[in-house]
Amino acid sequence: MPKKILVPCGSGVATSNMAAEKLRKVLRDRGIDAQIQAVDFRSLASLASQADLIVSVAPHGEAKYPIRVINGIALLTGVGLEQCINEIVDALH
Amino acid sequence: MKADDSSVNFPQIYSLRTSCSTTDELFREVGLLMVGEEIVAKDFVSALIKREEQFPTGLQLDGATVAMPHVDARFSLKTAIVVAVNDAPVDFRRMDDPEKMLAVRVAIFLVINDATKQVVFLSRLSHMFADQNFSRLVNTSDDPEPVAQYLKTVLEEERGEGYA
Repeated sequence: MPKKILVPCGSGVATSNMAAEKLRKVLRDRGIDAQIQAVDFRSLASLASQADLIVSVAPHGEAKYPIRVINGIALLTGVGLEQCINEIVDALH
Repeated sequence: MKADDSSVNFPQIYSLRTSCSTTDELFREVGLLMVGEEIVAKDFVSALIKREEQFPTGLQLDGATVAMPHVDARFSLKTAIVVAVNDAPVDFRRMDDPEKMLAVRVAIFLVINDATKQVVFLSRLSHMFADQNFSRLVNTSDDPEPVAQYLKTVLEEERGEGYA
């Protein structure tokens, strides 16, 4: 089963899709099979229990969910991207 | 406001220079022009200001700062990107750390109406943000045109692959 990663933002449209698409690309380049879904914050409550990881570009109360949260702003800015990806890859293992 | 050509899923790119002294003033000036150009619905400006408060969009890039203000897709009348270069920096809160402020001159207003079709151009945007040439351009341009041209070039690199 591929691991499931949720990438939330305010509407689940622009920011989350930017970050999710970048994450898809870098994980694919590393040969890692994962299911990555851009979602809005409201959907997190119902989806978090079936996911393995939240990669968040904006803090918005994700800490209340029982799965790990990693800051993914590097997916948008490129600053510290390598370290961010390493952290995500480690969390998936 | 200067406009470029467009197709259904490829964003029309607009650029303008502004001389606003606050973020709200910038949002009102750019937002009203966007309403006038029929890029967004009439109630866009208040939605944009509210949305930025709730979900700030300032980004600290490597050596530059930008913001990407946007709202829900329901306000979009077409797909567009508006590049505004303000004379002096205005305050934006950081997307990843809203307690921190960033001084931002270049704001890239995103108007998305169907992310599933526009995910390719969204991914090109993050590619551009990570590019040092883009940071240099942001820091040296008083004119929005070179930034808009660069954006257009970056987006067109994948045009035809993902734009059905």
